[in-house]
Amino acid sequence: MNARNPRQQGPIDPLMRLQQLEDRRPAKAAARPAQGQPQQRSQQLPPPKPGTVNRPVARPTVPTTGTVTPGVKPSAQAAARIAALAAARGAANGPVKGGPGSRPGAKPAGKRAKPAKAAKMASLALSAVTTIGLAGMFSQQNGQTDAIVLTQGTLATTPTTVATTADSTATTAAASNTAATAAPVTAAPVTAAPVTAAGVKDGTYAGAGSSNRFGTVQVQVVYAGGQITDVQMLSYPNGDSRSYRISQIALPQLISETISAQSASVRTVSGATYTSKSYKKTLQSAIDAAKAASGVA
Amino acid sequence: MSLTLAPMDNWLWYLSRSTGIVAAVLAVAALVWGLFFSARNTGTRMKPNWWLALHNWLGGLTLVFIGIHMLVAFANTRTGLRFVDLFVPSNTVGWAIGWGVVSFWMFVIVVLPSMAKIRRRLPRRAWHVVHLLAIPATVLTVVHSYQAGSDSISGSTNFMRFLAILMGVAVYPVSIRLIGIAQRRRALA
Repeated sequence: MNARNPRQQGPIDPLMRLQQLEDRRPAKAAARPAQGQPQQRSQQLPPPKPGTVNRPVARPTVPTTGTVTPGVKPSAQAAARIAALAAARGAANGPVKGGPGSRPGAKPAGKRAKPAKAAKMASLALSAVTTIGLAGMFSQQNGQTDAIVLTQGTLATTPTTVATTADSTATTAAASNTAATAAPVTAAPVTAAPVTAAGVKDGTYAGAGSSNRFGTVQVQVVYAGGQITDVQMLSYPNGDSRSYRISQIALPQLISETISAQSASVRTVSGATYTSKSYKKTLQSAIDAAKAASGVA
Repeated sequence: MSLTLAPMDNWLWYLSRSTGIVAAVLAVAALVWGLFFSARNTGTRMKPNWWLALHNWLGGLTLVFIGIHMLVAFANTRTGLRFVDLFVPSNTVGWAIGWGVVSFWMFVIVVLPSMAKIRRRLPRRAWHVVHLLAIPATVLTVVHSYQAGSDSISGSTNFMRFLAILMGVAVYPVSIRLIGIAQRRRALA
């Protein structure tokens, strides 16, 4: 018996290993000789059962030139034998990608097609479309609010005024913020003046503070000629740089909308939802206080 | 109807919200696919490797959308996020965003070791334990979208329903998987 157990006898002879692999190929494929090469095996062994790898099997004698140890270059005869067996394998499996006879761009032999390709592309497309669709929907929701504000015909002239008002308000509020926060948060008229045609007395009215997780928002509304002419911030979230930054951006927008709308019906500023909601509450409170002080229902 | 063009920051804000929502949906989808696959509940219509390939793809896509979500939020000056806030939860940004940061890192830990080259080097048990982080990561994603999302704060019932459905969809395969594990253990005992 010429077979050897590699576990017992040290390193595997590559030539023997190649021969072993050849023997395990299906008989039909292995029986086809390579073009121009004589069939060197007189008999074929059946393919081994699963789990019989590395077990010694009976095989016909294969002429070799000796054991090839790792790191040692095989002799010319052994190299020719390996090349012949490799050629036989190539003929059985079809042309190797990049080798002679292979089509350019052909898939490598034995490589599986990528599964779920269509589903992957569909999920990617669906995700992209959903993202764009949702962004458009959010924009549309805010756009509708913009359109409502525009129909009142006051927003077009507001921006320049608003920018000035907002800056001064923010500066004033920042300067007086500490004191204002310490003050009792109540809805009460600060000053009062004669009743105007609109029914609300001219003056400044403070709203009740509205707290959220980032801080307290409190405003006072300035009425002149029965109209809201200014909204001053008594307190706003500025405990950290982020809150301060958000307030600096959101509050001017809210104030400008208040002056335009002459009510607390202002839209929520995206990215400043908490501040916007608290602002609306305290503003409504200030407007209610103004109406109550003026005896207007 | 006359519409005003939204400023750039507004568009970035809308994009940030939409990518966040899509990332949450993808995370749940990847979780569902993975759980059905591991529970051998893949049916006969599609081969198991189809489920596995799509699960891997959805996981990767989730990470990509989370990345876009973070970058867009950072690019939006209105959010006031610093670059470090994208990767480190802190009191500055609050826990609403902090949960998102934690879930991002959990998804990174789940997805990257599952890449073929890294997975081959990991023991299967270790990889599996790490991979189970996908469940708390998905839960944290939903918590993040509930706490930080403008849509939930503004009291949008549709958004709340959406979150509830998302959680319901995730809970179903988790329960199937847990029942399967319990049955197998009972059979072995």
